[in-house]
Amino acid sequence: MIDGAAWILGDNVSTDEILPGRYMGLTDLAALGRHALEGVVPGLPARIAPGDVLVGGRNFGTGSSREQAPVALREAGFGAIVAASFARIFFRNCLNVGLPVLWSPTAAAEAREGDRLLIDPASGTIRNVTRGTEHVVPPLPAFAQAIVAGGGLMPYARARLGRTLVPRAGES
Amino acid sequence: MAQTFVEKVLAAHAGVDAVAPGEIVGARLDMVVSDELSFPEVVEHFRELGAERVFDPARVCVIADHESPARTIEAADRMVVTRAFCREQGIEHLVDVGQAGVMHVTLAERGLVAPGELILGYDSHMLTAGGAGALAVGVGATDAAVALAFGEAWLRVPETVRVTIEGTPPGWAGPKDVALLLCRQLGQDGCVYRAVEIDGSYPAALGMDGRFTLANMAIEVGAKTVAVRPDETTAAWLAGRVERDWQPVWSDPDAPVAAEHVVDVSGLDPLVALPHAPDLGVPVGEAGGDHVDQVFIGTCTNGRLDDLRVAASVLRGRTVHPRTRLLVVPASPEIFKAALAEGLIATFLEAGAVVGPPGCGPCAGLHMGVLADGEVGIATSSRNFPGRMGSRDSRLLVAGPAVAAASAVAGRVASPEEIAGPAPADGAS
Ligand code: SF4
Repeated sequence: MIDGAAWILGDNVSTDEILPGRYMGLTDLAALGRHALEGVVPGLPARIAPGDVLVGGRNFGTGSSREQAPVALREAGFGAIVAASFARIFFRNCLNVGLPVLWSPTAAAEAREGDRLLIDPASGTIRNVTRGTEHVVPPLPAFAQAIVAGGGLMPYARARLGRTLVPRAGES
Repeated sequence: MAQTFVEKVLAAHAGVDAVAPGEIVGARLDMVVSDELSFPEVVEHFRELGAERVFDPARVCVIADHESPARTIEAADRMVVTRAFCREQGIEHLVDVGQAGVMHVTLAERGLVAPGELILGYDSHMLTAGGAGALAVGVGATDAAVALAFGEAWLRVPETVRVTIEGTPPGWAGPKDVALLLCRQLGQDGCVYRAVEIDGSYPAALGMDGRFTLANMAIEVGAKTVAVRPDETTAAWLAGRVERDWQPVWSDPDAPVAAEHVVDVSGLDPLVALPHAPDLGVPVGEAGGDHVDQVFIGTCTNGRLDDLRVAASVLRGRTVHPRTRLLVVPASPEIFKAALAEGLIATFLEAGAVVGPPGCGPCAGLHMGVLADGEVGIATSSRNFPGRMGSRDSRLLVAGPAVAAASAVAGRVASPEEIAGPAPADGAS
């Protein structure tokens, strides 16, 4: 269960803003976290508490495929991202790096800065404690759920080395 | 059952007869691609995975375009890691300084994509290969590392959006203007998670350079992938580049699609996308005529030979405004050589431009010509998100090569017609 305060951003937040290109070469994960969202709200990572929730509008994470963008958000301490919709590569990268993403136009539209959100990624439930509401998002496809449940694509793939990545029909 | 392009290609690569939108498949990959800035991150994940050998050293391509020749000591160190890994694994297609252009241009020029092939790469503009009828998908570092190890990726079969483009724009408007029009009409998230297929009399009449421009910009409406219908133009371009057998793949006419758009471009004026998004295109006459500090002509969107020809036709016999800088970066060595042979490079230099080495140039705000606080730039690149080409307080406009070149001469946002008169009779291609 993720329990944190909501931080609100707008529509079409790009990965160029989430992690500007000049930081892409950083290999120190903590440093990546410190630069998270520098192109949107500089200094935000210093103000958030671990487990806080980033709430975006439409098409969150658009643009460049840089995986450092979701990694920076995870390292900054965000526990999950809720948005009205996500850009495809960003959404996929979040699953792969084990950062829960919830696609909920209603929860995103309702949340205000500082609202307390309780999130259960497994059941796709978002509770806005401040407003006393609950939103349920449609489940991910079973394969994607298995990846998230295992903590990302790496542990999943490691267990499948020597076989096909996706089980073929008939595989026990 | 009637199937779309993307369903046919994914089914063939998953080893099944048919697939349906929404289904997740494990698909065999024909090529896995990365740029050099990101590749060490992929290598790290590959090691972390415990994999020992890449699935097929002939099907991996790494291109030194984003920060090469090395922009910093760290970048030089990254390239050392990349070269060592490629040597260790016997990777054939490490395209290093001297041979490298922007990855999406170099990849196609080297014959590493063909119609019906499935390409995965760590870059959002990967789908540019759809200009040649390949199915190309951008992913992140973890996916790329897993792809290197398995030669396979998990992919959700996307719904298809069919875009039919008819007519011929008059005057200076070219493929970039058509792409900006599509961005404006469909919106930045208009095709998220969908495959776009481009058909109609307009793309059919275009050369490959223009088709790659159209395909390249599909990511700016959120598409997962894109394809332009392959035809004789495609075949002629691939001849001499691709030796293996390939078959054109296209949707059955009655295959169900999620949406259809028919766009008529016969009255289109050149467009300019205002800060800070590619879907904010307006006709150049309405763009405000602001002073422009820097103009950049290049990238995987508009750094090809046709683009340089258009830019040179505006710049010939004219000079860059004294308070404006013009950067021209041919997208690949092959294009650079052709531009040199045609006298285009001389035209640029005589006009007062600086001509940079093939690669991404300042496109991603990494090196060679980034914008300062408060500066205004125009680029022929694909996207102008805040801070994309430098300072977060810079303003970036996106346009085609004709508008970019005209603006360099005027020192403000200007139409090519105003600066250079009517477009040449053979069109602005
Ligand atoms: S030219 Fe620009 S958009 Fe194209 S691959 Fe390079 S950085 Fe990306």
